Amino acid sequence: MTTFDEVVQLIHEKFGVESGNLSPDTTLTEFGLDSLTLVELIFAIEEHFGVEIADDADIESLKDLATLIDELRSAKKS
Amino acid sequence: MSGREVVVTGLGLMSPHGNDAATVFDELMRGRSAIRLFERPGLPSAVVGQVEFDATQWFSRLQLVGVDRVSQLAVAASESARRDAAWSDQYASERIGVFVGSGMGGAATIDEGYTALAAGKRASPLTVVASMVNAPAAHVAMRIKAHGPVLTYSVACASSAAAIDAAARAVQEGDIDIAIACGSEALILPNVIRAWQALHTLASPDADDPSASCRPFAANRSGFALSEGAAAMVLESRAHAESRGARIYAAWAGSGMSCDAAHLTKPDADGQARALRLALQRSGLEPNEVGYCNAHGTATPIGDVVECNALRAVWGESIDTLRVSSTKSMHGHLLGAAGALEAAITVLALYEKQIPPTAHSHPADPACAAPIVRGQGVDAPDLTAAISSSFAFGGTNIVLVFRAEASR
Repeated sequence: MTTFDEVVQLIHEKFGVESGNLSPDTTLTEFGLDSLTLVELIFAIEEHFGVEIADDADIESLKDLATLIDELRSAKKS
Repeated sequence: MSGREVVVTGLGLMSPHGNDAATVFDELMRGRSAIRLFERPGLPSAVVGQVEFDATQWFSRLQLVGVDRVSQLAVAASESARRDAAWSDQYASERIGVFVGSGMGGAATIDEGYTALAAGKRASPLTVVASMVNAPAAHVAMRIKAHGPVLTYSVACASSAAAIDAAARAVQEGDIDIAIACGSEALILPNVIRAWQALHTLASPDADDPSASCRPFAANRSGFALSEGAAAMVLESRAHAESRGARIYAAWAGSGMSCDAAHLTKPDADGQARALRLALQRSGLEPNEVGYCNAHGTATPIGDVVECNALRAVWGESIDTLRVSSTKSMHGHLLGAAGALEAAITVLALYEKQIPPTAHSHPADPACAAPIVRGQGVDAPDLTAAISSSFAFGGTNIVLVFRAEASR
């Protein structure tokens, strides 16, 4: 399973958003997240992947999020 | 009484007896208890009242993020009350108020937060906004788009009686046209129950019939059953209710408030009597005109005696014209939501001309010297006014008075 797929699965489980509605280009606000639910999503991502996402991280789309997670995880390994 | 006359035009319940007001009232009239045994590893047995509640009927999964059960119940009860009132969009949003009472706020969220921290994990970033005691009111306001006063009252067991009083006064004064007054509480959690058990106010579970554990005014009473739930009522001016052809359940006639200012938990007959007298005075009623008292009646050894003494002190020789019951014997003590649920039951008693009973109230305690309705409910065709009493930890006493409509 790719990181993107894992993120989609997490969003589906936590927020009940249908996986079919989420593509790599879907923006984080597009499926109904407001500033508070976004904070909760980032928290869930951090817990799930064991990473820490900076407050000023530049994330527009789910693709950006998955890429950042991969970068943080590989940085952690090295 | 000055200002506009205030009437109740909608009721919404999320209660241990269910969510349909007519069904709930019928269950109460039959003396049926919704109190059940609650057992968890490491927790001494307790009896509680819980609500069967499917949050996804009221919220999408996304909407539920960061919304504690206490807010979910408040929104569901308020939305139900609004539907019951057949409230259309004819009210200007800034003329709509929301007044909510809650004792603990988001207890489950606080519990989860401390549990996470104790396990060395991080607390959810939404812990604060989910648990804050005014979250239920805020969620109700967002749901119904209320842009007027949106306020929260946290006065322990009198929280939602305070909310109803404030809502009614705001309508009476003309500050707003319509209000939702709601009580919500959701604290059926092992840690919270343990804290209450430590205070020695909870009923000992009846080994043969746990549902009969709470026995107000009985000689063998041992305290109350903790319960969760929410109750809401729609309050508006009579003129507006009549102009839109709304069904009117009853009118709010006035309220009386006092504080014992004596002890945090020990009730005081003088303080309660002051609230009862003020309630009658503000409503323009003589004691013999009030036919029913939905008592605070927590079934603690001292509380029930003090309450009966306060009623006798105010009613005097008219005490036999009053009928008293504690419906907590059946739905348990909803704490911050108790005032609203019991006010709703009082309003339904006036509307149905029936008085619900105190269940499991035998053998009677002669020290509780008031005309207690026990076992089954009774018809009351001449019932024209009724009171709902809420006496809080902290010493605050609130008595709400409602009047029946002349004809239905």
